[in-house]
Amino acid sequence: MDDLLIIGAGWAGLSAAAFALHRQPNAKIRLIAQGIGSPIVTPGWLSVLDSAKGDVLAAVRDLITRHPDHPYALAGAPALESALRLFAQISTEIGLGYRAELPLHNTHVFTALGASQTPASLPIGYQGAAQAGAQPLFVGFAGWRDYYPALSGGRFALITPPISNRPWDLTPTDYARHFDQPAFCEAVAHALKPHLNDATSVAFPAVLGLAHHAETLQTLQTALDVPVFELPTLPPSVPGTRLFNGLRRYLLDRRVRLQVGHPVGCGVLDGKRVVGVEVIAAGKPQFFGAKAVILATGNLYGGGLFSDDYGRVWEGIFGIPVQYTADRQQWFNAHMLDERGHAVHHFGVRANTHMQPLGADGEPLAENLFVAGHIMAHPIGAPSPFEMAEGVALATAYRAVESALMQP
Amino acid sequence: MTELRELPYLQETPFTADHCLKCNICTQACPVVPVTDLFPGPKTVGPQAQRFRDPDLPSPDHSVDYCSGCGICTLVCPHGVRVMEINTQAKAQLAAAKGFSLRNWVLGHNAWWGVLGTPFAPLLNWLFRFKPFRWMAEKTLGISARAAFPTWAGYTFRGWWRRRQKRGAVPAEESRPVVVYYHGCSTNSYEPRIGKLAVQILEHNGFRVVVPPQACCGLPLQSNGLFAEARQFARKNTQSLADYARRGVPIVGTSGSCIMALKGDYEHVLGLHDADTKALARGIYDISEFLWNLHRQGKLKTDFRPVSAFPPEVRALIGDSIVPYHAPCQLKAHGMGRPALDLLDLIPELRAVEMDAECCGIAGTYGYKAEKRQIAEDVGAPLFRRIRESGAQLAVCDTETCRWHIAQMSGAHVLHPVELLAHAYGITPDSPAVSV
Repeated sequence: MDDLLIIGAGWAGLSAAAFALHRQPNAKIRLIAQGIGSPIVTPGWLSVLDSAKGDVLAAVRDLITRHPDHPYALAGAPALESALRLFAQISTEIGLGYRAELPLHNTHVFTALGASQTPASLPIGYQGAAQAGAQPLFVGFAGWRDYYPALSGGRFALITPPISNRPWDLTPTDYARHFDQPAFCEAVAHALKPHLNDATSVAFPAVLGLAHHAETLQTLQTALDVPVFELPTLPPSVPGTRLFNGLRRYLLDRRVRLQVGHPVGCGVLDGKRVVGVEVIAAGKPQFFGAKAVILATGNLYGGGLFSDDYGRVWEGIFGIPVQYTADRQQWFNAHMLDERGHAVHHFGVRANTHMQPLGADGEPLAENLFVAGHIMAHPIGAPSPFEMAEGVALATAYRAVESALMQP
Repeated sequence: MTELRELPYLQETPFTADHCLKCNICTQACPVVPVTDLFPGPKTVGPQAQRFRDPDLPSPDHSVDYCSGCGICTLVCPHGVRVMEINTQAKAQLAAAKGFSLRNWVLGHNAWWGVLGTPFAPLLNWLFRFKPFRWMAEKTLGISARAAFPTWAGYTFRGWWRRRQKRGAVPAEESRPVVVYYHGCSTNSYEPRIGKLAVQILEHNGFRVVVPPQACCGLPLQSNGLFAEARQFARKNTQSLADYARRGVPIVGTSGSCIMALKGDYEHVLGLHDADTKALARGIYDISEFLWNLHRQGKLKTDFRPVSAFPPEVRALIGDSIVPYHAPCQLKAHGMGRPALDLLDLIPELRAVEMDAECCGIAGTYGYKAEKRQIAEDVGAPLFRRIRESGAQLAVCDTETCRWHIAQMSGAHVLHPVELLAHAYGITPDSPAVSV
């Protein structure tokens, strides 16, 4: 039997496993996920409350007072603060260096389409945006349809990196693997120099190395003699892949059991206690027993929640009641990514301050079942869950681990 | 998200392509993509090409031949697309269109060569290490001269088993619970010691082992696109073994990849949906899975000796190092966790750690093909480097071709988990315990 079983390999699930290791290095931890999770389709930076001006944590505390059933309110501001600090520490150990110094302020970053985003914490690849200066030069690769630098800013350059002709398109990961090679970086820097003129910095799509990201940044910065930074690309996200790969090694080396592939079919309960879960495996279901379970399977997009065209929404593993709008008209708001939020993004399960999901009667469904991340309901009227996606994932994962590891 | 379980018809392998969002998670995880320009990735040749595939039209894309079939794409897909299975079916269609390949036919029929070669073991073992012969085989057949071939043991597991039964070495206690041992081709002809250890470990835990007639799992045929013959082997196995499964007699095997063929590929790749196939899939276990289940029920004997009581030659190999464990791709496809690692954790003083590396590269017969050899070596390079950097001289892996490949490329001795368990139990085959 495992001390802790985590379902989901997104931001919340992976962080929960790492946080649990820090709390109890000898705990038997297992992480089960159907496929690779959210990091690989998100920019790889950390949004805590993008709309916050000034001290982000103060703004979160303000949000908490206005929305007492918000995931941030349930996890509590101290959990968010501790989670950010611990995540920054772990990310530094895996070479990604997310910064989370207090007081936390949102920073301006560039995007591929020229819009501005304001996440709170960045891995090293995005950090150079702070020194972009007045004249950043946006660099793209000739013929690559995933990124066209003229959409990012006025000054741009298209270069032809030394890649053999392939009869198909390259993914961001392909480029990143090329950038892992110092000779390739040198060649790119060489090709770029004639375009530099008086550029104050150079922005690349986020493909600057996969396994040797820090070295790649350093090599380019040295060769170009200006700050170098990345912009998020279309999926698969290389910054997210770096995070996933880094955490995977971190967890495996510390003997966490990590099994990506088969979905958990259902939870197994004995009265008010979860005794384990059943995985839909080859041939027959496989049972995994655990003293505590953290459910971090995500929302409708992540695979934690399901819906049908009768307007029903349900949670697939434990049958936890979902808070949602049954009126399907409201599911089809014309502004999918509206800053004020969209009803479907707020759907989720309700929980108490221990992160125990609540049954229809408002009581915890099981004493040793906990939730973290996007599966949690956001109150209608609260800001869009997207502007705080990673912050909520980390804070709720931290709080869920705190509660779960206190289980007998 | 659509719930797959609600829509059974969408679970049919080709239809799972409809769940593909084109997110490219499979492409970034594919171990073949980074090392060659000949393979555009599992998404491109799989879900993407699938809509151009018509049973009556020629294959739209020949690069699918460079898919190694490791199945990592299927594992990492968050949407339930059976990417590897789609690609393996496309490979079979391509193989049928291309016509007969002597090399693929030879590699696909390893079941025959194992048994036929046994009486000529010394000659063949010499021949397969005789460089001019291997050079000839590469030039004429396209079988890589660099690939590590196993050695014929000179006797078969089944022969040993028959002699042992005749001798009455183990009293037939009818009251003992029965397990069926599925040995597979490699254990039968090349590594009978693994079968001998497995049988003794099962007996040590109170079981009566039976070894009914059985055929090759068919995986080498399947990965070479020879589906018709693979299905013949599959039917032989289901006919021989499904009845045991129905009676609740566990069927236990020592090759993670053969067992996966019986557990999953018969249905999802070869398209066999009959009741026998389903019963067998339910009733067959990888040996570590089986033993770990026993342990969870409190029934596994844990009279394990610490590493310091192991035979000196094994102790010397382990030294103060961790024991790197590689979970083969086909073992990950079971969805059963890492039972071998869980079992190794029960052995006092042993510290096994799963290597953070995907495929070792060999992928069954893939790395034996001359044009794919370099790919197989490059795919596994991160794993070989990790093992070398760990300083370990002894590693563990559950499937045979992976073991041989990792041993050749990393220089470490690579054992099956039952070999370490046997040392811990103090069980030896009648041949040297570590055949290194």
